[in-house]
Amino acid sequence: MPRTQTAPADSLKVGDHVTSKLPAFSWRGVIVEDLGRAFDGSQLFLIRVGDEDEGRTFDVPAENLERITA
Amino acid sequence: MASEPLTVWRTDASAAFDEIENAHKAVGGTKPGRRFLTQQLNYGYTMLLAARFQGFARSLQAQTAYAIASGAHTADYAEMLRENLTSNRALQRHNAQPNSIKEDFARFGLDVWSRVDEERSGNDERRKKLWALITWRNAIAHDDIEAKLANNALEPVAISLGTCRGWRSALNILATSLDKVAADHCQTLRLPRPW
Repeated sequence: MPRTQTAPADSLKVGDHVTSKLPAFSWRGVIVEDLGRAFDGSQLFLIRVGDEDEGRTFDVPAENLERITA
Repeated sequence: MASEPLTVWRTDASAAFDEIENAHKAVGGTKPGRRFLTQQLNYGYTMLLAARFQGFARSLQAQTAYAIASGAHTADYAEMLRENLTSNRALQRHNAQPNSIKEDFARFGLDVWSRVDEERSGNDERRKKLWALITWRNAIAHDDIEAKLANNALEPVAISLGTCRGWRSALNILATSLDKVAADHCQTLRLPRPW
């Protein structure tokens, strides 16, 4: 059964579990905030990897994200 | 051209501040209790100013990080840069006090307050107003106004509508300067000017 599926960038939303499409990155995280559009139109999301209290947060553009399905 | 965060500050945030000002006008008259109501509005205005400025500063940091990372020559390298430039921002965990802004913009090699002070005369005084706003915001949020007043930790010692308007005016100018300094810094890094 496939672990991930590609989601259209504009369908991603806060609460989605995601991973990076880029081969150099292997984290699994959750979208915690929609940061809006970057100056070039890309949608930016704040991702948290790890626990709510101790996890790491960072920004990722939607086109680099892949939703993780159950 | 302004960044998206500055545009949002000048439109959405400004409209929210205007709503508080309108509420002030609605609480008119001389009935007993008006002073209490307006005091609560002033506390609400203070919280809103601090919250919206935090949102502006954090968003500007995100946009600047995105612009800088976009200069990388591969997608993986850009992603690595972006992750590290935005990882666990102080502005994600704390209010937009000047040291949080300084810490997050220092990731770009930018001494942000030195540049902001150079950008416009009077910005050092406006930064002091930002500190005063954040100190008052914390006193309201943590319900320890009296304790802080007893320790002479609050300046001014009371908040009026005029105080909030003064803070708002200072933040408007600081936001404009921060926006320009961030774009200038991208050019200093020999990257295209993002806005």
